[in-house]
Amino acid sequence: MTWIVKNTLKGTLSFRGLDLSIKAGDEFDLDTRPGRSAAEGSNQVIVAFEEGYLANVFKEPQPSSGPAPRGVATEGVSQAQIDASLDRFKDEVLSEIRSQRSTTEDASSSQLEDVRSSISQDMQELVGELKLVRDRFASVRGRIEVDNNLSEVEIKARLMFLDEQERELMKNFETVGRTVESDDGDVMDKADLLANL
Amino acid sequence: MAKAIDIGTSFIVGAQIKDGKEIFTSERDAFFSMAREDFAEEMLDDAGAKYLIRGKEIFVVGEDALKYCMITGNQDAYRRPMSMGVLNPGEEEAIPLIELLIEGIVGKASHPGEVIAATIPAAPLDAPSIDVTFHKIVLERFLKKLGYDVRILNEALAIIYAENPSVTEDHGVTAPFSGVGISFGAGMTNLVVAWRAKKLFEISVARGGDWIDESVSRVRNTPVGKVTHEKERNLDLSSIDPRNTLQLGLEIYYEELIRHVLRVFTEHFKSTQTTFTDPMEVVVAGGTAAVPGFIDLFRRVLDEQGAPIPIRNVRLGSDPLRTVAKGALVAAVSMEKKKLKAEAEAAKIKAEAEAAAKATATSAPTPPPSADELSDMLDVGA
Repeated sequence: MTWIVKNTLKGTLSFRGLDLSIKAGDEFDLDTRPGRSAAEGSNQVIVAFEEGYLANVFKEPQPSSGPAPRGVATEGVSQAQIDASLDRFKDEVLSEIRSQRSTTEDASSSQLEDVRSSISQDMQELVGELKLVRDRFASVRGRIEVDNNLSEVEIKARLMFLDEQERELMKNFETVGRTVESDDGDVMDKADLLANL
Repeated sequence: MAKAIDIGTSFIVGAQIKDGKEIFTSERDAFFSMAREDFAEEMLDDAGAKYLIRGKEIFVVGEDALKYCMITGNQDAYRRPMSMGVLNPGEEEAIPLIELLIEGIVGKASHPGEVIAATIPAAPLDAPSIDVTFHKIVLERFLKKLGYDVRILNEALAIIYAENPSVTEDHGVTAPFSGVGISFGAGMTNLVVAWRAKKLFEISVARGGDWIDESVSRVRNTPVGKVTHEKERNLDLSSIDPRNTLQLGLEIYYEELIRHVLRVFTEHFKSTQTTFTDPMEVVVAGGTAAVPGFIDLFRRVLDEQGAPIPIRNVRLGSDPLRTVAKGALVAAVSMEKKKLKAEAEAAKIKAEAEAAAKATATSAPTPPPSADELSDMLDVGA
């Protein structure tokens, strides 16, 4: 079995109870150490997933126990699951757009209409998903703000982390306008020449 | 520092110098209309998209407009504020939308009276109904509203400023900014003949990349979008696939566009009294000329058809999509330098006059020219 996770932080993530450290950006197989059951039962791992410090890269289901236990979800869907679900959805939308491009080469107009309506539906779903995700961000924020077990500094740090996560999510939508620098660098020389004519 | 803007049928390109570097910002000249819903606005805000609200409709502008069109497949909602090189008279919403795009690209003037050079086409000879004057006035007025000192110049003349073609005269002296500039855009093709940065002759024809796409679409009974896609993604005029009917059609109409431009050039140049004996360089730019193999096709057609003036060589602008904006920036920086110099000279004359007045209280000094009067003399002949 394999359960690859990724440290999404810019620093090393340490799980002292498990004697485990994952460097910034590194991936690690939790099934090799400390093992599936220990990892799923660890509160540290659960919190790391919940706060988005760890992301699931690949989790092979356990052969005899049916669907994998949802150990990381404490309140509804975890941050990592939302991210993974959004990534999958994004891939599907992109693949639909690519297939639409290639379809336009040969397909009949009716086929094109099918692709378009499918993409249109996906877009609506994407909008719905995003609204859901943003609601969840708001709910997690509210929960952190009223958590009496957290110090002021911890609350501030966690809220900042959430803001960063939200910014990352919204970056999927490119902004308008493309800016490039020119390699020529001769505008001033030509302007001087023109001014002195 | 001065700025420049090239407002084209397909793209708007802004240019400026920032921290000593030349910066170009381009935006698709298009908008997409959608129903106004609270969440739609929120989404657009989050995405940093530029949009405008008119009653119950939202107009997404720029590159995002094309994305929304591709995602939703709603071609009818995708519109272009410009047509045939000028503001599209069929689009009522065109003016505020193009203003939004322009403001997004160049912003407000960084100081009052900052010079901005904006390019416009010449009035097309083959489509007298196209109103270049209205287009010019609307753009000029809006840029002034943003705080700029606006200078308008022909887009083909901007190519001359960007690429600096030169002519070597009989006695060995080199004349800079002298040659033929041709801007092959989406809506129009503009041509100027310049001598030492002065425009001696200009023409424009209402044919460009859109005309090619529409013509091929008509004869091949294929949607325009598919033709444009083939042109932008796969066309190489130096190696046409003989089994690809769209590519064959595109090659035919590309050649016809070049022939038409050279034909109109020859016909109208005859009516001028100008004679050139020294061979000139031709510089070609614009999105339509950016297709691989274009310049070789141009050379072949020019060899066959000839030109009304002796031609030394033909070359493509170093960055055909941004050449016009770059040339406008050269002009803007040059004009701002002249303006500052004139203002400094005016201040000096004023100071000298005041000093002289004090010395000889009886003699009245000649009033110095105002900065405004001087700036009127600084136009580069657009």
